[in-house]
Amino acid sequence: MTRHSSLPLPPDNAADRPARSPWRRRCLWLLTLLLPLTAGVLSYNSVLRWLDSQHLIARQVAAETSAQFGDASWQLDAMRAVDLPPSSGLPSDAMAVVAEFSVQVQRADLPVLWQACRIELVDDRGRRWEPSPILHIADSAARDCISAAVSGARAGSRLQVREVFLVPRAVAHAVTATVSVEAERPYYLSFTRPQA
Amino acid sequence: MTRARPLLSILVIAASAGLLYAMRNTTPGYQELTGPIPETGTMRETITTRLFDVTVERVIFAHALTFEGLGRQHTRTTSGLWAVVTTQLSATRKSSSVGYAAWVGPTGLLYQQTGRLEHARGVPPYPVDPGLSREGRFVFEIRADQARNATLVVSNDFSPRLDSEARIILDRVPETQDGRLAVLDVLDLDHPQGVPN
Repeated sequence: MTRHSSLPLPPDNAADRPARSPWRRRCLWLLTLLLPLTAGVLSYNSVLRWLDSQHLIARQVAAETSAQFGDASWQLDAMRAVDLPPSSGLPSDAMAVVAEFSVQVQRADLPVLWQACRIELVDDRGRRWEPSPILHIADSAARDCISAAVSGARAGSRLQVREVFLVPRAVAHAVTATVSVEAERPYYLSFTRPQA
Repeated sequence: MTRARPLLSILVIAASAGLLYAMRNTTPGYQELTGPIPETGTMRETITTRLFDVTVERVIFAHALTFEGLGRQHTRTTSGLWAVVTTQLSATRKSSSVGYAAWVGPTGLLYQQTGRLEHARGVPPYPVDPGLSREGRFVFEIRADQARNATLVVSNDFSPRLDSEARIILDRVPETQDGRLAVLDVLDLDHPQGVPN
């Protein structure tokens, strides 16, 4: 005779168990919505800041045409690959690439509109070159993008923007120019090279 | 069975406490978790980090350095040794700059780059571009007993967080024929002529 046989178990009657609140299940289902929503709200500002710092979506600009960007009309006038002087001390397999833009300004507050202006060269492997801090071409008319932004240009004026890059000789004639400004990111302009 | 249950509970609690204590003592700290991600290698080997490639070409030791700056010749002496590391640098995917290096001696002593080369030419940070290799020189003032079995640490900036840094074992320091450390009396930084490593 076992111990259990002397103490009868209570009958397993479902009707006697306390009824579960329907809100328990609803709350669990609600978590599947609330958790992603909370993550979204908490990371919203970080995602915006990240998008502001990235250029992700290209707007293609055909050769010898202009595009609206940062309340200005941008056109790539020329891209020239230039040999470096042998005595420059720079790598022998490097060339300078000069990108020249003409920009029709439509609003005067360029320091805000063109904040963190970035002009880069990109090759077909996705490698990116920023303007070289070593190379400078003396010219009073053309400026780099940041200098142009703070030059006090008025609406309706036309600016010459020029950047100089140091790139490998192998890709100097194949790279394309891109322009991005903080106000327009994640969009950026990708220019087709004009005919030499 | 009933008597054993309290004993079992005590054992489970003790085991849990032991496990928690072990976890607490082995969990890396925040600084370590978010610290640099090391990419290791040796001299003459190209180390690839997220933003740049680096190859250590040679190390030169000297008792004094000379260099030209602001139109006159400067000399820097030391009671220890000058260690001058010459590297080749290039960017991996996008233009960047390489500005930080440290010399970590065999006993763990860490030397930052010297700040005594004011007005010298060719000092960090070095701008680097993809596909273009350039020379980068890093100069340290170290104790003589820290010259061998050292490691060079190179990164874009000081103490990168969750970003890679190169750690290069300096396994080919210059030696004389009898196996002693080869140390120049004076090294001209503008025209370095070192002992082959």
